[in-house]
Amino acid sequence: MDKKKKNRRAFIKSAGHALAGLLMVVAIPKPGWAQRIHDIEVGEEIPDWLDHYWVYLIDTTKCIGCGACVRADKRENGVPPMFFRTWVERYQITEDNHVHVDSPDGGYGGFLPEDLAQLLTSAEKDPAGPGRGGGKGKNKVTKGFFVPKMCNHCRNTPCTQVCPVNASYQSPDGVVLVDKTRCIGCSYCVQACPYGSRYIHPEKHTADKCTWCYHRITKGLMPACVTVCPTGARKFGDLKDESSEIKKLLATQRLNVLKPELNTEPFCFYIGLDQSVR
Amino acid sequence: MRTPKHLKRALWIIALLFVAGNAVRLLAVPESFGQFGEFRGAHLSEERERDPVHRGSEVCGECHDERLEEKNNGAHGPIPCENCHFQPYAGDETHPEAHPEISQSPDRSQRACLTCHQYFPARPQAFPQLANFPEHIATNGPKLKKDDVGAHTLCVHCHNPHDPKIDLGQNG
Amino acid sequence: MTYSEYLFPNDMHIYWSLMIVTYPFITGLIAGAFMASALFHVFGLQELKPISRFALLVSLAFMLCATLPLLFHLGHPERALNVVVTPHWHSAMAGFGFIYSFYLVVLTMEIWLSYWEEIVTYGRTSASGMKKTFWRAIALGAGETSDDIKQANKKAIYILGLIGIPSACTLHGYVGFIFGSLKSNPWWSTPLMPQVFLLSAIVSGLALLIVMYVALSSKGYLTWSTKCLKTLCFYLWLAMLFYMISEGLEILFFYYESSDAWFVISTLLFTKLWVSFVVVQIGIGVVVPFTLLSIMLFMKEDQGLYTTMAVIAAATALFEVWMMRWNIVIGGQQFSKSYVGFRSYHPEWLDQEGILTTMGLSLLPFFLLYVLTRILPMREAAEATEEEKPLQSGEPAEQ
Ligand code: HEC
Ligand code: HEC
Ligand code: HEC
Ligand code: HEC
Repeated sequence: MDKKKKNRRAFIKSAGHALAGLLMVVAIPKPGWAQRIHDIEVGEEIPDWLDHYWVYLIDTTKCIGCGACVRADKRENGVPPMFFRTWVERYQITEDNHVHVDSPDGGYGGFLPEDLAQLLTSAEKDPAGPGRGGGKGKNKVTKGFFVPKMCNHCRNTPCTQVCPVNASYQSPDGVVLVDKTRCIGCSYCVQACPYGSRYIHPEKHTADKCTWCYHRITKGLMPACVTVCPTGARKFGDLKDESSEIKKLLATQRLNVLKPELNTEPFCFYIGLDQSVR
Repeated sequence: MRTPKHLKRALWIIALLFVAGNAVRLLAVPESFGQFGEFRGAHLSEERERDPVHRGSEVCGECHDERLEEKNNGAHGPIPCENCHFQPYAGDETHPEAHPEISQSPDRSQRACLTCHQYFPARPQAFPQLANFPEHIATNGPKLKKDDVGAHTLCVHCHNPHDPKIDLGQNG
Repeated sequence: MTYSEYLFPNDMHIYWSLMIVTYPFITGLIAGAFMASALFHVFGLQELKPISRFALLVSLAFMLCATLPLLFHLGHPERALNVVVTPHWHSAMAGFGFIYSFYLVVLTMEIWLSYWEEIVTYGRTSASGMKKTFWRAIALGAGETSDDIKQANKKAIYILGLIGIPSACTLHGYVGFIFGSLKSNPWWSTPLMPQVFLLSAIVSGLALLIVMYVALSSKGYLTWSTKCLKTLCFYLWLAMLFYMISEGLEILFFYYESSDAWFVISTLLFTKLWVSFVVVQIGIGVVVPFTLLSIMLFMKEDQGLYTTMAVIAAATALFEVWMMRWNIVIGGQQFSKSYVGFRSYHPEWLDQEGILTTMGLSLLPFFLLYVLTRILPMREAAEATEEEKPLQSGEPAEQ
């Protein structure tokens, strides 16, 4: 009996040691992890990143659905065909409260029909329903708008939360980025993004997404999609810049975000967002 | 009773593997990992290294200054040259060889203008748009008082893409 | 408000395909088989003795293959170790490397100790010097088989079993967590997910053991005992019962809460998943084995019919679990994040993550199991029960 007890104690002891060891390694701070953002001295090596906090604003009432942003984004970032860092959706709500949503090729070529001939020769508006014409009867479009979409650079980020290897993260100035040299291509983040903003790059086999043109904004330029927007529907700016236009707009406009019920805290705000928007 | 020999040895081996495995694991952590947070810090500068592709109208204006001025004063002021001239200027001195697409073929077709100006029910109604192209020519063609109106089917025949607004006061 | 069909433009692709269906199926078998052996080793269910060690070997064989579907799936398999080098502790997936290696150690230890006497004997009696050295190395240079040692080993096996149960549960349950914790996906996002995964894992583990037990004992590789089969069938019935309750509750809640999630799920169930979930998984995979197993509760186990029914029930249950993995993994991706667009999935034969790879990866564990059983015996050590002890004592233990 005594023997048995001792025996058990020895086992419990060694098992306990093993467990303590495991916990210790798990808890050992990784090199430099303890350092927090505000502890870092801003020297030559570390430029003005920490002086900015970026934010994006989309005015859906101004968007004309030309797709210039989608084209510019593809050129700027070499986004492969059939994948999108940003895209434009067209919503048309008809008399019978039916919501037609489409986004042909992400809005890359605008929303014109493939074959322009009918449009250029016929005087008749498209009678078949929502589309370029306007429809008739219960198909009559009572309300329509374009909604540009992109990565929302959420604060409560569902995608970086699930990245197993710390390849995807939020930068100190508020941009969600993917380190393509660390990404293992598991596509968990693609599943976790409620907005469909991520994809797996077909050639690089890593996750890819909108970076708010990090290479542009850190050089004082606007993201490509903002640069080319002909109507100013897309706005971008720095919250830490007291005089910025975006700060005024955010303070005065009625804002909404996509899927607020998921509490992702997007940092891409919308003006004039309809409740039908998915 | 003491713990049997084989069990002791097994526990030692496990402990050894555990320590060795974790040592290797920690050694493999990239150098700048954790510099700014839980990610590889060097990636931030890698990400910003790339050159911007879209440079905006001002760059074109270095050489095409009248054109830029013309555009900026017109209704198309907010539209950068790259929007219509497709291949953006990459910052090279040897234009037009550097970006042949720009000089060769700006899209002159109606499609180029209609992506923005075709009437859609979803478009903001304040934006100038054409609901009916044949009608547009039929009503507006004569106002221009040109002889060969029938042949004018491209928008750029009647509109200057850089300053599209037609001041009928001058023509008529 | 009704919607026309619309998929987000990035949602045209199904990223988690057959490999991610195969992976939880394999880890499920690992956990299930381990549970079956723990019923004997930890909970002292003597009826299960004939398969208790074999179940551990099954668990190990599948364990050795568990990482392969993931490696085939990854865009950059060469970076797979990043998951332990720079793990992100907020990600359920980051735990994989640690949970996997921990459980692997527990499992190998448990197998090593349950085969301790064989290992020592082989170290002494093997014909060739090579083999002798091999077995002695496996025994870590020790060679004691006295009663004290046996007693200590038994204790160790018991403790390892105790540790092994939660770690096997974690190894598989965390897969459920991976799916269940995604708020972006209504078909996955439910706290019942880990539980549903775990219960179905036990179902699949027991079902596989039943099929293999009947097949192998009819050829004389395992000791036949109708009691053992009956016990396995009873626990299979029990696991299925709890599984059905969980899965049923999940759907019922979706229906009753009738939130945005049900909007997607109802459409999914009646269109894309009608055949694979409602007809095949529930109609065939749940109803058939559960009915058979319920009837078998009232049958005498020493009938030929009982064995036949057991095999049919186990095979359909196994199939059900595979379909459940399919319906969760693929079904959850058959709608767009817009919740109003649906897409189809047709696996390719020759794809890296295609049907042939899946078949290869599903057969590989059986091959490994064959190799393992060539090294270690499948049968239980005869001397472990009290009555048989005198028969074995012919070979006196040294030291
Ligand atoms: C370094 C000076 C320079 C810059 C900067 C420059 N161009 Fe030019 N561009 C030229 C010259 C020189 C020509 C040739 C004029 C000619 O052939 O008559 C030209 C011609 C063109 C033509 C007409 C070619 C033709 O077939 O008539 C277009 C269109 C054009 N440029 C567009 C652009 C745009 C858009 C940009 C800005 C992205 C730009 N250029 C920037 C110097 C420049
Ligand atoms: C709204 C679209 C649009 C924008 C914006 C635009 N262009 Fe053009 N550009 C055109 C079109 C269309 C033509 C071809 C006109 C023709 O062939 O009649 C053209 C022709 C030219 C030419 C050739 C000159 C000629 O008459 O053949 C030059 C040079 C040019 N553009 C420069 C610029 C520069 C510089 C800018 C920016 C300041 C600019 N464009 C902005 C549409 C545009
Ligand atoms: C990238 C989108 C875009 C393209 C392409 C474009 N435009 Fe415009 N256009 C605009 C915007 C924006 C305005 C300013 C609207 C306003 O002032 O509200 C405008 C204004 C105009 C106007 C003046 C309308 C008015 O009454 O104020 C005309 C005419 C015009 N465009 C013609 C053209 C022609 C011809 C083309 C093809 C060469 C063209 N546009 C291509 C965006 C575009
Ligand atoms: C036959 C010559 C002609 C052609 C071709 C032509 N337009 Fe016009 N357009 C005019 C005239 C003239 C006006 C000014 C009408 C007025 O101010 O009353 C005008 C006005 C406009 C306006 C602003 C006024 C409005 O209708 O709201 C837009 C926008 C416009 N045109 C776009 C286009 C586009 C786009 C094309 C090519 C698809 C095009 N036009 C082709 C002659 C033409």
